[in-house]
Amino acid sequence: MQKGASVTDTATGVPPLERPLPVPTPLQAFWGRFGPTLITVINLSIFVNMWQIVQGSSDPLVNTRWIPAPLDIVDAIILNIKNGELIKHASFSGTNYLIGMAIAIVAGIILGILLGLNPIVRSVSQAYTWVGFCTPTVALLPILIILFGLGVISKIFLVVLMGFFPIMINVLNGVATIDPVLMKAARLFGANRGQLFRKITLPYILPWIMIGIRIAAERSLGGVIIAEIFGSSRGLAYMIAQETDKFNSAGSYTAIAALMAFSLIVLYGVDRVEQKTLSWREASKY
Amino acid sequence: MLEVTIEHLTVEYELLREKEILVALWDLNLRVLPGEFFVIVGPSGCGKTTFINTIVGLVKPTNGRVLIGGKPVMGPGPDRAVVFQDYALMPWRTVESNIKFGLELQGRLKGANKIIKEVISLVGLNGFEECLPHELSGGMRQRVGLARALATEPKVLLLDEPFGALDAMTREMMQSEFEKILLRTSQTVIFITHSIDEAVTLGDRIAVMTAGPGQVKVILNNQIPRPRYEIDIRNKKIYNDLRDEIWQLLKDEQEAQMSISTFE
Ligand SMILES: Nc1ncnc2c1ncn2[C@@H]1O[C@H](COP(=O)(O)OP(=O)(O)OP(=O)(O)O)[C@@H](O)[C@H]1O
Ligand SMILES: [Mg+2]
Repeated sequence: MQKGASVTDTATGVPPLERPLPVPTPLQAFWGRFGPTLITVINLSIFVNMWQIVQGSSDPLVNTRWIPAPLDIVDAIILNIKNGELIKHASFSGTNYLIGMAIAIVAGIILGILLGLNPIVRSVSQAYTWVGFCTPTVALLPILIILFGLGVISKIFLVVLMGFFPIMINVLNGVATIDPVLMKAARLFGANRGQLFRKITLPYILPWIMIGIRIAAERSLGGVIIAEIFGSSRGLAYMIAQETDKFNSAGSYTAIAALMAFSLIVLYGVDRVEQKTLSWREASKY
Repeated sequence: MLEVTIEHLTVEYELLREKEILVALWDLNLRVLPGEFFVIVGPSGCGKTTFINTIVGLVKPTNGRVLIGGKPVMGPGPDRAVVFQDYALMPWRTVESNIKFGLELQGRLKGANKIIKEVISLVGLNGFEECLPHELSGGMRQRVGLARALATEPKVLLLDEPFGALDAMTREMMQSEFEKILLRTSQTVIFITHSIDEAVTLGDRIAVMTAGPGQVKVILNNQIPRPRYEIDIRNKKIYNDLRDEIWQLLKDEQEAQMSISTFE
């Protein structure tokens, strides 16, 4: 330390203020942990109870043909689980969806990387990928049906088309932003092409892959439903149409509930993976 | 510890757009002794990074060659490791896993954990093993960069302006830290900087480069006794004399370059 300088900070003789750390009371601690969940549960149960009171009475507000009472829906769900209808339709839609998504994910990642790695190929292909992304894919369904018939293939194909582009475009963008310094570092430590891909490219684009999958997951679920409405003899959307034809609204709502559950599971899964992979990317922005 | 010999090294870049050739290094000759702490100072754009890239094997010489322990450089190899100015850490890897990176690529996983533990305490990162790079300060990130390079136990360690992105205070602190650490290890060190203070604080010998195309202008011996991190060398006459000498040399270079560009 230099000779001329001396410590002059709080030379007033007044001791610094003690600032006690706030200790939460048990109630505060409980509320902090379970509060949000509690609010959601209370909120939902009030809503469902009101719904039950209004629609479950002998004189419902809206014709129960359009909006059944919650308990009737529960009955219908139990019935459809017991007689195997729900499983039959849900497995049909689910299989189409999962197969389609799997193809879209694999193809989207591979093509995104191949097109993204080379700047010239990237700029040439960019126009086409955007055309693909902006085409209202649903409008192609009649053509797909002419090409592949009303069977499973046209349905899966629609799911693939809807999921593929968002994944590919995101992967392509991710690949394009890979930090060349990281590549250089890896090469200096002796990385070969395979290692560059596994240790840099893939982990780097993982957040982009997840963003693409999230968008694709929602679009493709829409694809499954629309393809079944256009023509099908199975599936959850078919079940909705059928039950509605029979004026059995509780039955349609059963299928809708199944679709909601499905969507919820998918989004929850994507969210979990995303949280892990996004943590470094979100945080390294600051 | 290996000797690094540079013979008639010329590196040219083809500038595709202007159909011109840029001479980055011109007939550069240099011998860095085994175990030496060799510092290179030079004005910006004189070819320092090009020089490092050539030693490391990323850039092919247009003419001449680089020998490591008598063997010509054919490409990157585990006998050399680099510490980068912008750290070049993998943002998704923890401190520990980043340090493991080089060993992993070189397939040296046996005994890796022991080496990693050692270098972590060598660079003073104990307790930060599980942190991600963005949770660290710049100085700490560069310690990770150094640890990653040291973990591969290179014979020659190359540092390209490793403190260029740090603030002045941290920079001074890191200079002392690195001197301390590198004195405890035994590799040949080639350290690039454009800070005169850094050169005088760290180097056994200091090469001053000419403004591009890069050549070695002078090599100065640094007589300041080691270890330097314990004493306040900045007030010593020997420090300031050396500092002034380098300053004058670099100033001449800059003036020469400016007069060239005004005549053109
Ligand atoms: N890949 C390249 N292609 C073409 N020219 C290049 C390339 N890399 C460097 N150069 C040129 O070669 C010269 C030396 O560059 P280099 O990066 O080696 O300088 P430097 O001394 O490291 O500069 P700084 O101190 O700014 O980092 C510069 O004129 C630069 O524009
Ligand atoms: Mg440089």
